[in-house]
Amino acid sequence: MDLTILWAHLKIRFVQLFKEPGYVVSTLIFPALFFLIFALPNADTPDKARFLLGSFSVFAVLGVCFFQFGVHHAQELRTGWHRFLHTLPVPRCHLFLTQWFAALVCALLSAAVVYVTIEFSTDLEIEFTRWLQMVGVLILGAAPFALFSAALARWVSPTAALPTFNLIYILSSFAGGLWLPPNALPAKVETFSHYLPTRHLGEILWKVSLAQEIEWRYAIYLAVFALATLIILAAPGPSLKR
Amino acid sequence: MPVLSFQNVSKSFGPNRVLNGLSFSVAPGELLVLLGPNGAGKSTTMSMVTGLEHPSSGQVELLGAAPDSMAARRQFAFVPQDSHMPAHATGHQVLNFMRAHYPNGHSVDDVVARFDLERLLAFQVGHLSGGQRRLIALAGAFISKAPFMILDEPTVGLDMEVRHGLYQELRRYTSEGGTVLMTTHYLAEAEELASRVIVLHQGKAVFSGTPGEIKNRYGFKRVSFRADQKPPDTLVGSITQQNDQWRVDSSRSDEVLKALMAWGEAREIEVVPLPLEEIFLSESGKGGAWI
Repeated sequence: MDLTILWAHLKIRFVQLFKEPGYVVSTLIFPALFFLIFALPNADTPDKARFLLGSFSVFAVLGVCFFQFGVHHAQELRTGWHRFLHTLPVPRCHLFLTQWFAALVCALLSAAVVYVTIEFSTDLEIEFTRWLQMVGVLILGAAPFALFSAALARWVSPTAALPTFNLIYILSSFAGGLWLPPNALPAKVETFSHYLPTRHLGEILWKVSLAQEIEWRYAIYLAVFALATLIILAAPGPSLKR
Repeated sequence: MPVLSFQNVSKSFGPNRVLNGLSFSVAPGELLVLLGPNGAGKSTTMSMVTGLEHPSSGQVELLGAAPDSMAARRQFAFVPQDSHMPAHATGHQVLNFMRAHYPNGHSVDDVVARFDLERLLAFQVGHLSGGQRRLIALAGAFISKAPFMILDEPTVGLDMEVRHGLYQELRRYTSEGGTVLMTTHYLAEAEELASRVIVLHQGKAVFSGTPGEIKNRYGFKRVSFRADQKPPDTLVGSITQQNDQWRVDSSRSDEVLKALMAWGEAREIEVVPLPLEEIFLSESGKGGAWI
């Protein structure tokens, strides 16, 4: 592994991401803003604040997955730059590692922004180690969504990518109980939400944030989701050249 | 060993056969130009050379290795036709990025001086013109000090002065032992730079030789002369007239000369090879079968 090359790729990727207002607003600002607008009135006890910390942390990190591995990837796949990178003397794993490491940093940042927002706007009581534990589980749990986004990105045109992933992001977040607790969802949506991976990840994070025991079936559902997207990723995709 | 070898390479995209049994090689120190009309297969050939596409059949080797192998990728630098670079990165950031891949490459300052890029470095590449972005991409390739340069229409969008600066750099590069494969639409450019030209048509190499040979082979010469009256109809070729100056572009210039001698009214007769560009223009009108 060549650290000079790895660092060069990371730097150029961060420039691409953090100088893109659409990306910064969508992934770093929207989750905290959505919390302040839609959820703050409900965070009136420390426990509710912790529950909502779990919800909006998932919402924030999924934003990174959908935008970075979905929208950004769909647009990048069709550019000469992406093809050009494959002609450079750099191992394929570097390109992969760079993408995942950049996503990791962005996920940590977006989760941190949500944490700071909830910490300063509610009576949140959570140990820092518990928050770190949440972030760790979140990163692992978000991996299937990153795979799903990367798989879908191969099929979506660059112009359709933003509306497509936005729609998936917003609908699956709402229906998965990330904005409103599942028991506050309309009955039919709540029933449907049991089939959504966003609900499964939410269930895990709510337990971790409230220091309760995780129900492992949700982890299994997510693993199946990851496996299914891996199979799609391994299948031949559409030709990107013409 | 050739730097690049194409052996009976075919490539299809669905039912569309883009390359059809293409064979050629590039020797060390050569500047080989691929010429051909749109759709001839030039860009697909470049994609194969750089390992971005694989042949449907046949074999491509770059210095004895598969073009997409690390061993091969260390040996070449590529300037693609569309110089897409991260729009928000500055010229300086792009050059530093390129430099990181080549431990023995030129310094950024060196290529900045050679390509006169100082004034562009601080700008985000998304704010530069197509020609300026192309210049950054070219400098990024030259930074590599790679022994093989692959340039897909490198001068598109460059103004005349910058274009001639690039010609100088390419001549210097090949004189120092570098090898170049490039495509171009500018036939004058091929004439000016190429040590060899390969003409592609419908995915096949229909000609390979020096720019001089291509003209000789097709025998296009321009017979110009002065005459006060219309020359006889027996002259074979494309005839143009301006005042008393006549020009006959023909592949049978010997017959034209004989006919003019027999006529006896022509004076100041001159025979010169027709520029490659004009052969292309005159022949491309013939239903695409221009060679």
